[in-house]
Amino acid sequence: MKEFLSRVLAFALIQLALFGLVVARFDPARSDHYLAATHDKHRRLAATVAPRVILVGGSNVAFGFHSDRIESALDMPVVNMALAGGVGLSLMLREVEDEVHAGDIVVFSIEYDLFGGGCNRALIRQLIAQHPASVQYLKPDLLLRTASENGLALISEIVRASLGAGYRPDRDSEPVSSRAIRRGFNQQGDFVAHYGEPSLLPATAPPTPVEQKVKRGWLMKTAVERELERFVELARAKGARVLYSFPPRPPVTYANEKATTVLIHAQLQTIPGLELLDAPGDQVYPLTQFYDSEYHLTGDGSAVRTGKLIRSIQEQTLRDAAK
Amino acid sequence: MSFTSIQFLVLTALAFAAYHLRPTPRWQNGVCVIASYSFYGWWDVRFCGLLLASSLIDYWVGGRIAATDQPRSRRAWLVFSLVTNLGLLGFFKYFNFFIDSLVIALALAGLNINISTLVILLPVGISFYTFQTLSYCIDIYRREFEPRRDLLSYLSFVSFFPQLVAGPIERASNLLPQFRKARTLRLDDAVSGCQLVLWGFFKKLAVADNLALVVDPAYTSPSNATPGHLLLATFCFAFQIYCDFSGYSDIATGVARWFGIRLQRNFALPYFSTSLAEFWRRWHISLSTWFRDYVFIPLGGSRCERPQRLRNLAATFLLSGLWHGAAWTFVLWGGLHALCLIPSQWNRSPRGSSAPGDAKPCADARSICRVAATFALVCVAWVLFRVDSLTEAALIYRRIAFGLVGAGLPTELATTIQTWPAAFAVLGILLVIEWNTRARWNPFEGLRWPRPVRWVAYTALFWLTLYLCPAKVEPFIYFQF
Repeated sequence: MKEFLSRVLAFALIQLALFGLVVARFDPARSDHYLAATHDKHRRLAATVAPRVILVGGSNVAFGFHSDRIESALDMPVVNMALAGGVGLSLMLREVEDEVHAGDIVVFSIEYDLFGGGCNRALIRQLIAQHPASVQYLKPDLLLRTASENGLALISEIVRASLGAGYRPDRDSEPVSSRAIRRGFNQQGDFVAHYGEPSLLPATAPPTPVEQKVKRGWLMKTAVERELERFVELARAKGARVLYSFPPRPPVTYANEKATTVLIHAQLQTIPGLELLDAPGDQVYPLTQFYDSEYHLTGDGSAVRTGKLIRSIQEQTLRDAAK
Repeated sequence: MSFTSIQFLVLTALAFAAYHLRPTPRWQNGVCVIASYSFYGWWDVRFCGLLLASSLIDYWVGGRIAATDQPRSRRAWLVFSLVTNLGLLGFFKYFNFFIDSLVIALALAGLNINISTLVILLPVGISFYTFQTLSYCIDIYRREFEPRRDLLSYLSFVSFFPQLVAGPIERASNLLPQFRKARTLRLDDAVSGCQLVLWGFFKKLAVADNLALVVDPAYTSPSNATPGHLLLATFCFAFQIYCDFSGYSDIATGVARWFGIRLQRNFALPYFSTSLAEFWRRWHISLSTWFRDYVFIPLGGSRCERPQRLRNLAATFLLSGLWHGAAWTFVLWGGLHALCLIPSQWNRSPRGSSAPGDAKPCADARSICRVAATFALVCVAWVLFRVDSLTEAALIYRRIAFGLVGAGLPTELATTIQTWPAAFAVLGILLVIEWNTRARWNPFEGLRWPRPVRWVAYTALFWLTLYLCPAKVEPFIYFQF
């Protein structure tokens, strides 16, 4: 027994030493992973001075706006913090809450399933590997579950990130095609690599019957509601505004989801201090304006959405000033 | 609680420490039972009740069978065990399948009725441990095993956590005697256990889960995949399921060795088989021998005339298919294997079963051709195992068949390989290692290299596994059975 345990200990120490050597190579500047873009976003968030527009959300926000036009129209710098909906609403809000200052306008827009508390733990593991500091934004129970249920996968991600690996085994399960890389983001944090490209979705969506069944799993859970209320209260206490804009959807999908999104809209209206910029039906775009998924707009689609956002903010600001 | 989780590592470490603290059977079996029920309860604590109930019923029935010499009484108790175990399995696994099939059959006969199906949670591992406890009672009935009044050993035998949820399906004659004596950790067992665990993780994480990246897109949307992709995906699925399941078995066997328990070998390089009959002596050995000993042979086996022989073969393989899943695709998969085995049974003279498939595969040209042909046959059947419906299977067969004669096949194959180069590279590594070490249970077994060289090999395999482990580790395929 003693000899076996001493051999196991010796082997484990060697692997730990190797792991230390490998992790010491980790250089966030080198990684071109899509999720590594969070380094640049956080750097920009820390460097820009309030008042700013801070865009928060899933990939519908990363792919959804021309921040330079927002900057010109509102005369405020914009920081697009969005990456992927799979990281979950809680992480999205927690990673900006300490950086929100007086005068900031936080605009967030999330994929509908996130209201039900959804997140992708495999994606979170990848995020931790690319940006270890993200760990501080995870709720303890989620961190524990993420690390423990597949600890090997997390260690593996860290190893690959440290080695600057070109090999990405889940390449085809990433948000978009091979363009989903860090270099695809612009200075403000918008994903722009696909601008000028036509839609990759089928040209004509097959006609589907309109389904009115409510997706119960999408309705806002109490924990999510509390998270939102906490964030809005915190932001407003600092003198910031929190605005919500619904994500973009193609017409058939919007019709299928209408029964659910109407309920979500009603639920959001009960969050004190949260200003709703629009309704789900205001964010319907032709299928040709979606790039590779029904949340990701093309360059043209995001230009239209940006125009709507600017007008909504300006109108909301005028209404608030009139009160 | 998956083998790849930190919870499993912690549980195993704690159990190992407690287990070897006091090398007495009662203490060690107590630790086993606590660890095993903790492991099982992690999936769903309600499952523990079912496991315990199933275990206690067969422990009691085994005692009743052994306590009487009256053939009728013994048979009655055996029937009670059969009805209970198969009834449990039938309800949890097959209730909705039978209802749906009945409704379809009645509809074909012109009778449209509406019978509600139930939302039934399938307890993890039920197919495995019910077969294990069934074999306990059957072996007692056949007087091949003598039970003892030792509930703790018996509960350890049924619930032993490394093999509880996906086998190997152990026989009482192999496992129970081991639980009845004190186990001490032998260095060679401990080391071979570590080797098996390492090799198992490599097969599961580096090979199987990377091959899944090739297979899943093709089988999720077969009408959109090219014939070349479908062909390679089928080939990859054959290795995915092999590496996934044999990887699990290796991990289970390796962990068991840390506890001084020897489990039976479950896979013996099945894809190096030169015939389908040999394949079934090398694939999921614990299940195929279970069906051989408790279904095929009691029906008459090969020791009868041709019509009965073929009937026995068909029944065994159809039931084996059904065991894998409550769907007609699995039944057809079994049936296809039975059909392909007919030629070997056609002119077979009634004699005993062949030797187990642990002979070293040959490397001559004729053998290699036969290996390739057997592998191709097995791959054709795997399509039925992987798909969700017969329609999907027909589509895939059609697309592959037309693709084989299509001019675009070489390009499609090249594109598929170029899209997932790591998956094919690591598959190549696996094949080279397994071919060159085919005489051994695991590639490191009996290796006479100096320790530093061995440790370099272990380290290389460990880091290769770590590097290639996908972000989303797939659950073990056989957990769904």
